[in-house]
Amino acid sequence: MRIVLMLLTALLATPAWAQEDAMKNLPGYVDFGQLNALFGEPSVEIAVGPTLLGLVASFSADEDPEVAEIFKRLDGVRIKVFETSGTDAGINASAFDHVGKISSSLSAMGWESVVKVTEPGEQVRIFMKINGDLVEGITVMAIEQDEAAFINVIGNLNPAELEKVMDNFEIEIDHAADD
Amino acid sequence: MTGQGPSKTGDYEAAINALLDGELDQAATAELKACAAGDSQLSQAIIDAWQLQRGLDQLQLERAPDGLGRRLRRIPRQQRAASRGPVFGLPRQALVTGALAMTLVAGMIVLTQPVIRSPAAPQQAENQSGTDQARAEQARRDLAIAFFYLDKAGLRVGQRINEALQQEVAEPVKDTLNQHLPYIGLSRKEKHA
Repeated sequence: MRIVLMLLTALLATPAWAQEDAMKNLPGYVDFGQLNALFGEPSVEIAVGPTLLGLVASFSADEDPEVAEIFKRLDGVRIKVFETSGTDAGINASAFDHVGKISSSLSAMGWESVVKVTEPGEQVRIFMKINGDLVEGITVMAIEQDEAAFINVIGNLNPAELEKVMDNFEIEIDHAADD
Repeated sequence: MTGQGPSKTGDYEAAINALLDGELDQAATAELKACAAGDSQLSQAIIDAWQLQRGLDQLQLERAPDGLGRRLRRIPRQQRAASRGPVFGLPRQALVTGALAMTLVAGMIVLTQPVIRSPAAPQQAENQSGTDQARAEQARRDLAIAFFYLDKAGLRVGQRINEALQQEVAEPVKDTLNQHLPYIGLSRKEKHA
């Protein structure tokens, strides 16, 4: 009964967007604007803030201390993924315009454009916010024919460390699903 | 909403639905909380309804690539009770679907706020530890999905850059670039394939 009441307390007292709000003032945070208005409801929406990252780090410490250290350096991970197939003309021009506006805004705020891929019906933009030797954030905007992903990693994550994180999660990419 | 006995859980259905829809005002939320504090059936009904809604919401996650889904299902997850009673007359199929979705969202209910800890209560501290572990597990699942998409974008970029370099740059030069520019190189999964 005690556990039930504790859960209930958490449910009734919890602001739904607490994780997102906890990250808004961090230097690596990116406001992606009104994505839902462009793409509709996201198929995946995740916001893991500093508190939860700290928990993950502490519970990962024994299993993989190196990755736990990486998590400790992160302040937030946010992602929104939208399915774009079935929309009027796949990816429409306004979506690309929106990415262009965010890109301009990021550049103006000191984010460095690391990668830019522009193909017919496809755009990928990768930005990094660097302060001295410190990475404050990574932002990825990837629009393809069937999917649009907006990712914001807040904190000090070197892209080269991504492999260690992926190893820790034991995730394999299903290439057949990507094609 | 006052004066409801433990057997009157069904009477709270509208309030619970409003709560889950974010339409219950502060006073009514406080009243519901007070009622639930003395009514285990009601409190359990609220949690069940919440878990079911989150499960149905999270069904979208199953649209992620099959490979990711398979791997996520291998992640150890919190065991849930094997059987539950009907929840507000929802179709059985919906309940089963919601329960299946729980494989991806176990522990979601306690994700967003730390549970109050009382230093004078060891049992409560133990519960806190279990709650934290459940939150960490859920966060790991969320992070796994997020980093999957990050790696996928890196893979796509790597493919495009390599295609662009294919005709122009000799292999030794590309190898050197791979060492220094992480996004030039393909994803590790691609390299290991």
